[in-house]
Amino acid sequence: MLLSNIESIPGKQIEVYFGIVQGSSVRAKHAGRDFMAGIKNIFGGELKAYTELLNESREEAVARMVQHAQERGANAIVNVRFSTSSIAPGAAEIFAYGTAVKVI
Amino acid sequence: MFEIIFIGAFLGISYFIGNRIESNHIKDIVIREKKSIHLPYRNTGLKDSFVDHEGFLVYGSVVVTHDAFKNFVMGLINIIGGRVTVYESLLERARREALLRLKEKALAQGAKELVNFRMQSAEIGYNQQNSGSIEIFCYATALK
Repeated sequence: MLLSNIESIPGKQIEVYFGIVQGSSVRAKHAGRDFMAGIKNIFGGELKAYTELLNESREEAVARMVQHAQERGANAIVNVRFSTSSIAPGAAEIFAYGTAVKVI
Repeated sequence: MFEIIFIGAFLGISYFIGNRIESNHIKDIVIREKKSIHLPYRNTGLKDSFVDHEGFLVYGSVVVTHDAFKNFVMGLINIIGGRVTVYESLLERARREALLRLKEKALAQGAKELVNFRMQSAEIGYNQQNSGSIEIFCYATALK
């Protein structure tokens, strides 16, 4: 599956458009990680546990989007966009969407 | 009296360690930026069709938080108003880090250029009272 956030796939020709495909994922870390983040908040800097958490959920959201596209018979997704929203303390929703296409 | 000393010491330690983390991070960023400076990136190219290239999607992200000292200064600035330089430096550092992660990932996969570069931020809270953490996320299409 080829992905791009521009309106084409570099080096390929778009043959068929299948419409919008999307994937989302909501994840939370266990309380221990939240507690560590609280301590980290005293000294500042990067919250590695959260970077990791959001990366995992982003990969999951992308995987779901890709699965959705495969079901429709697409082999690429163009114009992929991401959005993140904090819906609950310690949890975030990652949403990915794009247009499924068939390229040759 | 004891409380004032305790809070003072707490803020002092937070300032000292937070500052050290910050300056070490900036040093690290400067070194890594030099290594990836040759990779051009732009936020145009949405409508272009790069026929003689290969491309793929890349992204990089970082979640950062303020320290207790920055939080305290923020409280003071909130009363009088004005620029919050302590937070500006934190976010600038986070943006540079996220961009670097994106560039490093792209370079590892043999990218020559990044087009349609996008950057966004989202607030990530870990409990009701404290929501000072922010995620900086950037993505782009890398061309080979």
